[in-house]
Amino acid sequence: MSSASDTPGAASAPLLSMRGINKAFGAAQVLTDVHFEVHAGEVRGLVGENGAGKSTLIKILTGLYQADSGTIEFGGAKVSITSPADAERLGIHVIHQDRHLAGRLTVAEQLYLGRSEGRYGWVSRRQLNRRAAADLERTVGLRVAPDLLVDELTVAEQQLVQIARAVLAGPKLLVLDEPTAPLASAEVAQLFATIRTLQAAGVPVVYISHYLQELRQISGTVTVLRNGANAGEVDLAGRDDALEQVVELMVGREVEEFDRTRTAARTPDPAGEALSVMSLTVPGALRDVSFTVRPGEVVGVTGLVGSGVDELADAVTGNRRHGGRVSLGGRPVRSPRAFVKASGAYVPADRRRDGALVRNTIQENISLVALDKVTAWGGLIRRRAEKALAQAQISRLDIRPARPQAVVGQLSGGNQQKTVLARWLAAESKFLVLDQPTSGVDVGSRAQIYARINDLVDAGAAALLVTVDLEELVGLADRILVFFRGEIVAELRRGEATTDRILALASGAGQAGYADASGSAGADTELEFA
Amino acid sequence: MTATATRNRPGLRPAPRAADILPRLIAPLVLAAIMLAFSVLTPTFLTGDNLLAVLNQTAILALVAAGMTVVVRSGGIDLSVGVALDLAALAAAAAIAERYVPWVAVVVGLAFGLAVGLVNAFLIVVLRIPPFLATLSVWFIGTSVQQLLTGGGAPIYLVRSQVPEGFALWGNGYLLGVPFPVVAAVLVAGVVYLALDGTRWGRELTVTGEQPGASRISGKRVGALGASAYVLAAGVAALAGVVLASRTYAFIPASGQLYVMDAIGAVFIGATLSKYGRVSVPGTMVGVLIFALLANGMNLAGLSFFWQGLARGLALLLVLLLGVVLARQRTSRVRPPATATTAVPARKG
Ligand SMILES: Nc1ncnc2c1ncn2[C@@H]1O[C@H](COP(=O)(O)OP(=O)(O)OP(=O)(O)O)[C@@H](O)[C@H]1O
Ligand SMILES: [Mg+2]
Repeated sequence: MSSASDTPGAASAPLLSMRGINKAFGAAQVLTDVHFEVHAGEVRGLVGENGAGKSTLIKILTGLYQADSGTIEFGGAKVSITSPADAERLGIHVIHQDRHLAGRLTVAEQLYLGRSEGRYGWVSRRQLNRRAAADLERTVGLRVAPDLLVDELTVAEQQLVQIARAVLAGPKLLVLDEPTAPLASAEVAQLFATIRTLQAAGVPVVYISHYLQELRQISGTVTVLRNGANAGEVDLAGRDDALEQVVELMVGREVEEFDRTRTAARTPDPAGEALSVMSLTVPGALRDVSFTVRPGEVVGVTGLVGSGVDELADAVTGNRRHGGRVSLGGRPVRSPRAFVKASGAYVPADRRRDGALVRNTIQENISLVALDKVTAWGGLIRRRAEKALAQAQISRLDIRPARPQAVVGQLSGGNQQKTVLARWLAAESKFLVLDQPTSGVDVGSRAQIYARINDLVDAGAAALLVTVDLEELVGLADRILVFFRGEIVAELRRGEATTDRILALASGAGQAGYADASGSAGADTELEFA
Repeated sequence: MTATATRNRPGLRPAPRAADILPRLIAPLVLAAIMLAFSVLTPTFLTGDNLLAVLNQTAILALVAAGMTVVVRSGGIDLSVGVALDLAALAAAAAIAERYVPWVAVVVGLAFGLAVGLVNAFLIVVLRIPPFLATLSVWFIGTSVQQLLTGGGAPIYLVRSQVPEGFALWGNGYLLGVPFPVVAAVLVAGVVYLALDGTRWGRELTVTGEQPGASRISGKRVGALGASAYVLAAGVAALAGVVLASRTYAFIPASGQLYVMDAIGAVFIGATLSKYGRVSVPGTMVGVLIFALLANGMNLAGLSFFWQGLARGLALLLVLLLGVVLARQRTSRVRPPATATTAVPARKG
């Protein structure tokens, strides 16, 4: 697998070179003789299906895992990395797929955590906060109060804070493991600008993503892993059909055009009402939001970070205190329990904390809501029935490994996501609130998930789809609500919605005064929000 | 688009490696080592009579620890189980002294103990006071209450000949040659084990303790589950209190406190049996037996009572340290998320 000769930076020696990397967990060989090189100033893509071993390779690079064999050279010298601290000392900074933020720290503290600033002893909190606000705005374009607790941020905001932290540390190599999964397009654009700045300064970036279009925009060469081994490298600038080639390498065969969309238009019952939201208000996030979702339709919701869409999903499902009324099938929803009892399903954005039960088996994860179905007299759980329930979902969603006893914390990110979805499918919920349902899911599995959602909705279920993936939105939703600063600014029907139009609306165009931020009308709206 | 058969071989169970399992075997190995050492040192140690006597001595700790396991599994801690035990013993002994019939004494005892659990549940679930602080307060208050009720902490001694058999049995009776306290402990431990690891309630309690946010989103009654753990722990401790009062024909203030720390130690020794640090009844019982056999063996070997705290502390440290050291040597370094220490952490918003 010595493809270094045809990569762009081949003339110079690589900054990072991982060679002959092997890694097994128990009897499962996860990486086999993997080679991975990164040259100064390049943005190197790293792709592969869910479970291909991308995150594992990166975790070896940061010392979270130890390779069974293989060598790592960094800056021309052989290095041994046994802990994340080792990696950071070398200048290798990684944004992991599963964020590990300390929830009790403020944004400013998180930003400078473990950095020399703290060592001079007492730092004025005011100064620290002021600097944090400026640094955040400059590096990732994020505007949040620096004294908020990290826990209070949305997933996307947490992600941006972590990226800012790494950039501020002055990295020699930055690794981003699915950084854009929670981010909306404007934030992605900002992130790309940040990456290009680093690149211009000669700092290479490793970029892992399931969004191949993004890779085309930002990356030169991508390394493809398949089943834990190198499948090849593709120079994206080289050929017109480079992306098709990447997909082919990923799955190991040629793939027809992957179509996310459904063909027939749906006709939801106009009188029916699955979810009704009246004057929903969440202080600081949403103001007076009203809409309904009918049985047999998918209503899509999107907005940038800070638009209130993440809070919307929490509020509608009873997980966040709010003013206004929410009802599901005519029954009021005041608590998460009432929501679930009314046949509601909620796939939250924060998979690791609120979604997957990381210490439980796939089987226990899937049966959690449907325990009724597998509980015998006396409350005893019938393991066999539970296993059968899980197995049906495992094969339907193609969860890997297909072993009901596998512990979910050890699954790859995409497979964890599928497990969370499977929980609600097993409970046969009639109303789905899906916040980023395909976050971290590979292209093939995404199509499977879309097919399942479409099946359910065609059979009379209703779905509220909150997503930053505009292709997903356009492909799946019958109606689209665009949020801007806590309000619905547009409702688009299927057919009138294009990604460009949604993007413009989500960033405030079309709002009086926002087309031209310097205009006087802009000042008016600014006042209104103050 | 469907997957090809070449992706990760599905259905292949990774064989556990010795290095992965060894840290989890430390506690059972320590238990075995203690048995071996004392059976060499003292000839009487490994006799049926001695072992049955040990179990009888240990029954009360086993009961308290079984209850503690439930609370820790729910994501909390209970420093006040000693108070539940004491109040139950006090009420039962007082009732017998006042010549109430045995079953009334037992019911009154259990009711006093359960009351402590209800207070804990109220403080932790309704008022959202962190479990450590809530149960610490209850312990302080409960200790005072005992002293006030007994006129400054005077013990209540029952006259043996006047104690009805129906009450004396709880601490001194035999069932098929096995002391009743042992029967009670085994039964309770078995039921709690089944409840925690076999029933819906146990599953939901565990999930709530480890990931409260996920539990709430899945529609679980997070508050009620947490409350049930404290009430159950107090109820089991109360049963232990009744047994203690019966066995000693007395109520001696603040005797329950002795068991609290031992129970916590045993529960966390037991946690090392799980890959994820999850506490369980079998694990807890290993911890209980380690403490019990240490005490007994040292007695037989003629070592003074004062050495016993030292021995327990060292055993606890040994198990925890070896577990950590061995775990560090494993190839995989990723640790599961730390155990939640609050029973009902509020979700944001
Ligand atoms: N700690 C672990 N113990 C056992 N198996 C593990 C562990 N971590 C990962 N694996 C397995 O290794 C394989 C590769 O996982 P990895 O997370 O590297 O995939 P990935 O390419 O990042 O996938 P995704 O796109 O879904 O994030 C998976 O089959 C996973 O189940
Ligand atoms: Mg991954």
